[in-house]
Amino acid sequence: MESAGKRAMRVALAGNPNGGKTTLFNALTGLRAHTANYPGTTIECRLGRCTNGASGIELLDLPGIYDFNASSEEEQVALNALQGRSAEFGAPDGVIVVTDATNLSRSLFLISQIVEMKLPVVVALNMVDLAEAGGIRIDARKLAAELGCPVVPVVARTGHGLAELRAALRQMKPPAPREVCGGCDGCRFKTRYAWSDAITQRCVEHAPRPASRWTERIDHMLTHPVLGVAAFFGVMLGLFFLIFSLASVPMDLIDGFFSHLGGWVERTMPESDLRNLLVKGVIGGGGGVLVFLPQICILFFCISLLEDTGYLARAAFVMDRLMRRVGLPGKAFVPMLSAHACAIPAIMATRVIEDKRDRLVTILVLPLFSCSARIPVYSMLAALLFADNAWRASLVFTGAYAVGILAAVGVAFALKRALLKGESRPLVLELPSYKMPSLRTAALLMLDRAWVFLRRAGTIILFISIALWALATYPKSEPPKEAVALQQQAGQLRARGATKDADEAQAQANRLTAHAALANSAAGRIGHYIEPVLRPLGFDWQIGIGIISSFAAREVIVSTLAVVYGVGEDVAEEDPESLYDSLRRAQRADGTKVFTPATCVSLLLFYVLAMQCLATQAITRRETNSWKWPALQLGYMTLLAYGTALVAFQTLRACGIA
Amino acid sequence: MKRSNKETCCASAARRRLNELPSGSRGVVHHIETAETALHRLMAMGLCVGREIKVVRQGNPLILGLLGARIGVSSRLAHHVVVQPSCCGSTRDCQS
Repeated sequence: MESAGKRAMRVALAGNPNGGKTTLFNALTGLRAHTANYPGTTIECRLGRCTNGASGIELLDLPGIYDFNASSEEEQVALNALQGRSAEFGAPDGVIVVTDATNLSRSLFLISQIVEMKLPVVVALNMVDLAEAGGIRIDARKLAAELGCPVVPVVARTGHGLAELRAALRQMKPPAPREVCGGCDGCRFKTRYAWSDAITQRCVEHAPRPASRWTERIDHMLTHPVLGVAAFFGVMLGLFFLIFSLASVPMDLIDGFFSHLGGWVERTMPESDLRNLLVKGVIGGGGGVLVFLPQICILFFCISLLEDTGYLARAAFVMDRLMRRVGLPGKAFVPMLSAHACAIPAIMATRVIEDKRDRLVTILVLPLFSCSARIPVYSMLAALLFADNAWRASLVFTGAYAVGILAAVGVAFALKRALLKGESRPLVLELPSYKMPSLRTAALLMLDRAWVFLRRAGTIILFISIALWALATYPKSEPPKEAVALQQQAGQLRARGATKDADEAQAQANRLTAHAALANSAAGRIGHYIEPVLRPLGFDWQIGIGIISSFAAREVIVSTLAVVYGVGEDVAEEDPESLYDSLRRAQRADGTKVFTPATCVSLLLFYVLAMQCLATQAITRRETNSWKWPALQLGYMTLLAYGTALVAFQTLRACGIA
Repeated sequence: MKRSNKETCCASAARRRLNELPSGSRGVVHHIETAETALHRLMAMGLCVGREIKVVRQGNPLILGLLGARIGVSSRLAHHVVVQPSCCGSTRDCQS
């Protein structure tokens, strides 16, 4: 068909889940694809241009459907797009039905309905290699005659049959009229399946061979209620470990690159506000965005592999019973585990959860799981609490992680009971045969997710980093008298040749200046202002500044406290012990210690539970398409953190552990 | 099809609910009790009256063999499906 009018011919890829639609889509479009949203929803669709001889055809990858009566939001969206009900999209000019050759009779149920739409149709009979290995032989020509439309056997993974498919696409025309559902009273399923069974009998030769026994044997273990769960934890631990360890190399590289860049700017530009903005705001903020990429990439690469093999379905199956006690589906476990590395890719990964409510609840509680950004904070507080006892310090860590998990489970339970009520949809999940995963599919998914993250979340994060920099810099203030005196002293020392002493004096002067600047900035003033609210928790205005700046990113508190308590940022990075020492000795105006055990515990609990990550909020906004949910996240988590810290501090104080 | 053989052989077996059948058993769907929307997806996957099914693994959720595919189904849902079991557990004795 020639493309009529301005828009290229758009062909939708429809079919059952697990039929290889996405693999075929990738094979036909390669890198010439992008992700868009179905209008008005958070559900994504992939659009791409065909390559090699069928260019001019735009492909739309639809979510898998079993039936024209949708049973999930995703299916409904797919159907709307297929039937041209969404105003922005319009009806497709043709449909490719991607059919699993090993499951033909079930696919025919859907094909019968698509063929009745009278749109040009081509049936791509996928995975014929697997069918043949299983002893199933399908007569494609006979099937085409029965259906009234071309049937092209393909193997999307290897590329077999694609040339013929592209040729068929170029010559698409409406199918010969077929009336499948005559009258349609009685069980419409029965009528269509009767038709489908008849065709299957006529066109398929089935001589079962033991090739599919592997799936059975592996499943025997992986779906076992105990072994399966253990295996799942093993796989998840491996995934978690991979994300944590593999990502650290590129993350350090990115960090290093941006510090070097910042250093270079500092050296080449004259001291000015613009330079400060560029270094701390733009470069710092930009680095802060890009540093998430390695984890996101690794996570999605691995998820794609796991899903491709068919394993994820088993994981969902085996975790279903446990997760239902909390009111969540088994699939929610994957994002929950990766949230322990970073909530951002975890929130993006919740798209595997079909039910909208379940997905929302999962997104809302994911930040409660202790992510890696909290680790510097936990380390600091553990050191402050138990200076010499490594054993007890590690208990602090374990306790913190446990509190996070318990809180998440509890809040999820409460949310499903109260706010987002509704019984989780009962499980009906196909367990596809195990297959070798496609590295190409995984790589394409990884690139897509990375790009989506950069485009949407990256801009918000960068903008807010700059805003926070401004809060901590303005209004400016004069350096305090002591600093000026020290600076003069440093000059004199240098003139006399005592460079080391001069450097020390200068460093001290810088620290005092930085401390004063922060105290007088907007952030500092806010810290003073909210101090009455923080005192019941055992915090003072200086910790308050730390908390405020942490609302951008948690680990910032360590360097902020360093500045606030006059230790200096660089010292905090290079020699955390000296920072910890200074913090231990820090005193209030009335002589009492700042970091008492009670304060430390309360601060720890606050950091476990508080929402302090604008990047997470940005991603939540993006994935839920509204500001309502990130606001709820911020609200309930702040209340939870405040309340818990309050109770902890007051209880400890009442028990005499001041 | 060895219809008559099957009928005489299996006539005595009582109808059971899908979530009560032991692992490995086969049967034919007799009827489905409610029109719960969740069941529609199962029906779209081939679960019709008269369909032969196999319980691959009983439990909650259970694994159902349907049209050559393996489908995980929650016990609660399976409760609504009433099955006429094939009295013979394996294909060796009863060719159906």
